[in-house]
Amino acid sequence: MSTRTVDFRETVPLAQGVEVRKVCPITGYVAFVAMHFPPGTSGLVLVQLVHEKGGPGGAKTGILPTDADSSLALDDTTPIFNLHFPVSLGDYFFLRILNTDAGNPHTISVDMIIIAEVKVPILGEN
Amino acid sequence: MAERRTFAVVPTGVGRKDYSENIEYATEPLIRSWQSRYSHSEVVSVPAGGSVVRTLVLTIEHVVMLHDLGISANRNVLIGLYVEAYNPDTGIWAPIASEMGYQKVIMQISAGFPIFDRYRITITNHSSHDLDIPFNAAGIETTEEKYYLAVHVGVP
Repeated sequence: MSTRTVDFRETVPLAQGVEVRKVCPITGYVAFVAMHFPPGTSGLVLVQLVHEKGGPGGAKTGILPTDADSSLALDDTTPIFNLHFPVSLGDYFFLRILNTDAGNPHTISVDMIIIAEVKVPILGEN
Repeated sequence: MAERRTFAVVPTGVGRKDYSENIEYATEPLIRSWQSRYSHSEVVSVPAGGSVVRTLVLTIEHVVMLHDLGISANRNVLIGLYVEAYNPDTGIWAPIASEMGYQKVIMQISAGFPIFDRYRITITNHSSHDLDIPFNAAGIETTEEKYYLAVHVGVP
């Protein structure tokens, strides 16, 4: 079973937003996502992880949260989400972090583990 | 391959500093328990038919949980040990234990008895011989602060 990781670590200055796109390196499914909110973010740092089908600008689907228009904002926690989110090679992951903290920069990490699709031979099918 | 773009957002509040600025906050740890072994040994000369009082002063602001006390003699005669603890708040001496025995007296306080400031022993020689009586005490020593944190409920 092949796995690949896609990792983001972004230090966002105060009152700034950042958008980062990374290509999906494998066809399979996103199995785990860990997000780290350091102590101090105080629910002021909004994080969206979105899947873009086929490349930048493709159909957007929210990975976390599942609604692509909403976001997660936590404090001092590292939740690990178990998912089964199908992705294809060449799709894009789009991470948007909005630091609405007026006083401090914050560093957010998002790590994803993608497990390769396994083709199983089935009688009567190619 | 990654694309990155930054832009301004409208602040909605003020959070706290995190390690983005390589800032680490350290606080002085509160040591909740500290203890050490307490022991005291001395030889007390007690005249025939008499008794001797010894006051044993502890380190300031230390507490000793007294566990074991004992005296012995080199003759098979009746000797006695009387132990009192001093209460520095009230200035009263309170008896802890009193025991007599032939040639030896062993006192064991399994739960330990807290001694503040000082304690006092009275060794009695009921024989007609002058005796040199070794006295031994053992316990656990801690500071008053740690004693109130670890053993006692509440603050004095």
